[in-house]
Amino acid sequence: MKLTHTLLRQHIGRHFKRHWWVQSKLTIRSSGLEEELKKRNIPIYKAENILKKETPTENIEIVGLKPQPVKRDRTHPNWNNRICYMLRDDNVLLEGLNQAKIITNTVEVKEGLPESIDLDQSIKGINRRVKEIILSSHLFDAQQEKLPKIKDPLRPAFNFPRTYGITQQRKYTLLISKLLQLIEVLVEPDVDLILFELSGDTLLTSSHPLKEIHGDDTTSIALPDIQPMKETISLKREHIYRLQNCYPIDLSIPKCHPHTLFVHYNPNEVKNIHEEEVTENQIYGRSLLKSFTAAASYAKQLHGENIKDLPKPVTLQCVHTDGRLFHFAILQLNTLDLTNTGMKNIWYQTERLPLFDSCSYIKGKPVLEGYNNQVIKHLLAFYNNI
Amino acid sequence: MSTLTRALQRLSLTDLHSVPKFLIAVRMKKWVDKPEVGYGVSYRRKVHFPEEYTIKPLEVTNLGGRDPVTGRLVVKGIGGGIKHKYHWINWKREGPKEGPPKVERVIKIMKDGCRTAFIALVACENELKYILATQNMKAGDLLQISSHIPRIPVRPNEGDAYPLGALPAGTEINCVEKYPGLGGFLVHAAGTSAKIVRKAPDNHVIVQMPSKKEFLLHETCMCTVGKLSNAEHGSTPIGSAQKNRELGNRPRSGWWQRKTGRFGRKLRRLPPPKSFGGDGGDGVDQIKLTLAGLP
Repeated sequence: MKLTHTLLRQHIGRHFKRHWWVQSKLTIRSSGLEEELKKRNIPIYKAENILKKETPTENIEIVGLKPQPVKRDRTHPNWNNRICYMLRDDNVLLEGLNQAKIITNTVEVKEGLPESIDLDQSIKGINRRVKEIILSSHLFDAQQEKLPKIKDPLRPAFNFPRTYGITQQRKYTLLISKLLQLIEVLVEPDVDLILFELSGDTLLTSSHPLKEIHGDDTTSIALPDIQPMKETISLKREHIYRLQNCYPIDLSIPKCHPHTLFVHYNPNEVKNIHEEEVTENQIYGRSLLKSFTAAASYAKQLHGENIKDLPKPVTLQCVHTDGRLFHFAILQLNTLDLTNTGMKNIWYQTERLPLFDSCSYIKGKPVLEGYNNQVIKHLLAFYNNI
Repeated sequence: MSTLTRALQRLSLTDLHSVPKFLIAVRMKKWVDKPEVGYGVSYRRKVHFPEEYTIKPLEVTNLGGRDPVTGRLVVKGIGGGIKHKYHWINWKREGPKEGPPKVERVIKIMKDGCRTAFIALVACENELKYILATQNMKAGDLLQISSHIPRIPVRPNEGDAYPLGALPAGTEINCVEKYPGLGGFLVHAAGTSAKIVRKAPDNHVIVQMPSKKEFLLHETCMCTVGKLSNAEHGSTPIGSAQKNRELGNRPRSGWWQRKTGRFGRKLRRLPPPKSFGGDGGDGVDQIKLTLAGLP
């Protein structure tokens, strides 16, 4: 083929484009002009701002199928400028019981439960029936729900088959209601007691309030110290809140006085903010805050919103459980003034007691191992305490 | 007809304010700068940071070696593995400029799947934050933080944070700021530490990096005292191919490249101390010129 001018001609458009791609990026180097103009008080405008034309945008309101959710910003009707520290059911206190004691102005007079609680009560045949209740609530219930995912930290890549069974919430509800029913059948109480369900938890109420336990002065007992932290650490800071006190039972109802609060600890829902395991001390702190909330709302309804030192202390028993481990505690609410250094609230508690060691199917047979009769003794003692 | 004429009279030709995006994507497709490795962009995962600092472990998107902006494959050996949540480390450790130092308490030492060194959850007043854990740090330790530079160097404990100028020569440090106020930038890997060599004129301090190179840093740059935790990380073999897959690395093969310097540097004199100068804020502006029909 003859080499002609036409044949040798190159398509240089590509080279132009490439050249432009490289050269179109300009680096602006400072020439000192800006400082000089500023020195002479000459205003400087950006070229884009002058060339840019403002085009007013038109707001079109689109009618949707459902109303838009209220924005969680300053326009929210419950917005307050003052920050509120929130503790919800899914969070725990970082420093556990010590932090809870500072928040609620509470001290422990002695370790363990007060002497007025009689732990030597027992009824013939109660242990056999409690074992039946444990098996029926942990194994025999017909519920088949998808349970949370199982993760093994040592084998993180392993996907376990999903299990179906009885949920934590269901186990707790069955266990507590059946245990209380058993006690009510076996014990003849001097006062009437009724049950009240409170956001998944259970409140046992009575026709008379519980008696005061400790009447001595608590000025000498100091609150724990968690320096360099403040007591509000790990609480959520929020602007959108509405302060209100509500005790769900009207005082005109004869059995309105709180007797025992049953709190459910579900490890799948209650977590630290940093998603680490909840410690035992944090669970104790949760018991104290829950019982304080219940007792304080009752006291405020009884004596009015602005009551500081209560004329007659409010005593409330608390049972905190995850279905296996039981934590028993008693709170005596003396004051709602949380800065009061003289009068303080009083807290009694036990360790977490296991109801059993394991309850599962072994080789197809339902097996309950390591039953501990102390738990039902504590429950009986709490129930019979008036 | 007259209405049409009137309508046409009103019509004028102007440039489009913004070219529709899909047009750009089609035309510029050929002219995308290929992302380069080694400029502070992670091609392993993208972390979804919220506006405010939080200790809640953050959600991530694994990228598998792709550029987070253009989506181009940049690194070939990355992909798969176990998804880890990201613990947001508060790189800024600022103490009082004068008076007694601020005290923080270590709550817990934890393992973070996204980095090699362990992390520590520390608390002070109402604040909770993560920092990089040093070798002997344990729960309950009290750490001191101060931004004050005294005339006589302080005698620091492990985990304390001081400006470079306040520490004696020979101190092992980590999490060093490159520019004052930027936040810990240098020395983050497990078991590493830098060393303060000597003071330099013009309020600067010479610091020797783990690579033995010397950097000239301003004396107000904050740093944490001590060697970083998990020193065994470097000498622990991965163990198996499957373990390497769990770590998010894809199978690979390669020939021995003698000249890359990957397995040890050539013994020659160190370069003179490198100064970073300025406060790191005055980046050079770049503009992009456009011309119709050209990229």
